[in-house]
Amino acid sequence: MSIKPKQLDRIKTALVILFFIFVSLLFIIPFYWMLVSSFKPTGEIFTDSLSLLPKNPIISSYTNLLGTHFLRWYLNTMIFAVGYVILGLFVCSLAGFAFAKYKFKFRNLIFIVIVAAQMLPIHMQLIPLFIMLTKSGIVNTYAGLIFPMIANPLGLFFVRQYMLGIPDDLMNAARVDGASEWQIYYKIILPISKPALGAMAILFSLFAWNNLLWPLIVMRTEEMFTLSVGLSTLIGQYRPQYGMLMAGSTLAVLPIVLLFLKMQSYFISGLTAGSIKG
Amino acid sequence: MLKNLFYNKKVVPWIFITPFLLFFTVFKVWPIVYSAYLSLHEMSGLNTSNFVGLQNYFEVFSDSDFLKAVWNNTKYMIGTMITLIPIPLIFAVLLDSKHCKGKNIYKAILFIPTLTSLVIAAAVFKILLYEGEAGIINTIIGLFGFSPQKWLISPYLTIPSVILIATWRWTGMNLIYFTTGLTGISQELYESASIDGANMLQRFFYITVPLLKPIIIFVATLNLIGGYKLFTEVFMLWDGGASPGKSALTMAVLLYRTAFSYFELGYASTIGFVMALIILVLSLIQLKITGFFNEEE
Repeated sequence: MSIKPKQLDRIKTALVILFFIFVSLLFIIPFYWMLVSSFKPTGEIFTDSLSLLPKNPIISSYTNLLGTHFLRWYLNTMIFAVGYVILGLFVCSLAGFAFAKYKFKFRNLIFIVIVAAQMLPIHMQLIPLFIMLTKSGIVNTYAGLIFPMIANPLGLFFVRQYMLGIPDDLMNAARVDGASEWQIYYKIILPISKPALGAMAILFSLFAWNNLLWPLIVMRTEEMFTLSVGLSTLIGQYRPQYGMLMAGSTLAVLPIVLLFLKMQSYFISGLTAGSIKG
Repeated sequence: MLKNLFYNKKVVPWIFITPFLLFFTVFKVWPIVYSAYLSLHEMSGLNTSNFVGLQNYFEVFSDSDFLKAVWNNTKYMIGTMITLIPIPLIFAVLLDSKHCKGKNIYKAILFIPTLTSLVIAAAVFKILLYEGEAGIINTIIGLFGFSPQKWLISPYLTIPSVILIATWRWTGMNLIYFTTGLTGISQELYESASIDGANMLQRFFYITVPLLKPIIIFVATLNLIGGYKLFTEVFMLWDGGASPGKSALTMAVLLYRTAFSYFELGYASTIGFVMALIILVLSLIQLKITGFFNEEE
């Protein structure tokens, strides 16, 4: 009995598909468990961890969250994300535009210094930043959280690369029409650069949404925590609140996943540009 | 007056880069300089500091905790090299084959962990890695005949546990890099190799891997840098980073604890400075060894 090439092809296809279904299921497990555990009493999460569905689903983990500063953490995180995106994109795109489209003294030197700074991990700046913020009194404020992040070399670099591809003729035509350089930036360059700005907006907001170390150092009181810092306190030594932690995690992940499903390409180009780890 | 400035092509670029340079100097350049200064001082609290010369540096390199942290970071980094290059690469090749249907769905599913906060990832894995027989991961490995493991308790398994989380979280990311690279490889190369009698493995090792080399180097560099920055997972899995026998203590965790549990800001700065140097030097060495600089000629 011999297998025809066509049948072999089908078998291969079936095997590859089965493989990816298996892998996909493995990768979904953590999300599934997060969701299921958010409806289980904390005791049941560990002792009865094999039940695919909660025996007696409860929503108290969600309602208990309201007893913490959870909503405030959510709001803080949104303020961080929006503030960082608006200010960061403005500052980075304006400078990126200058580096891409104008000739000026020391242009290349300044650019190299900026990009080289990106290679140093933020960890070496954490202590100095903490001392500076504390002494200037903006520790534990939104300004203290956002300002040090705004001049992002990666954002500058990415936007500049994109703007290099915009033809100079467009700008010259506008100049003939009497546009100022600011108008060229604001009315021509910015709208054309939307894909690059969108990618960076995703990168910046995911940092705001997910990073732990930075807000952990800047935000010192519970009502100023971001989601990451707030959720991390629920796992504390004295009374780990796994049910609430899972409920809070579900609520924190949800908007990101929904947004991702709606605008995948921005997410992928933003994250592959940023390759943020940690 | 201001309006005229915006018509002057000599002045305008300087106006445009000023906000960036301002924030960059204050919050990036100055902290780097300041950190070098702090690393030469002994601080108690925020204000009082004594110049101690290189003493902190001598101390760091003979500090058993720091050396242990460097070693733990290294173990973790090597682990991510072993999982986070081959696995996404194989997935990418399979996804790229004509036998795969529904690529975008798998890609999206594998990518979603990348969007998840590490705080959340670590919290969920703390449940999944529960050491009892009923733990999810223990149940899964039980299906393959392995006995239950004390994942987060046994010092030998703490770093592997963190590597497991990293693999879950970054496979989708690296998969994207590799699939992007694969689309740049012409199908004709594979076809002519097939005609010459090359089997699947030969095609993989003699066409795919060499042509993807720049991307493999790039991903390896990300793993290297990420490996030495590890913080959040350890901080979350062991309540502030107190892993059993310091078996998962990392440089970043040590830096955080030195600064914010012991308030030794000078010494913490030294750790940060050395950490940055280690990352910088290792990335340059890696790029050099793998011939990254030659290819740019």
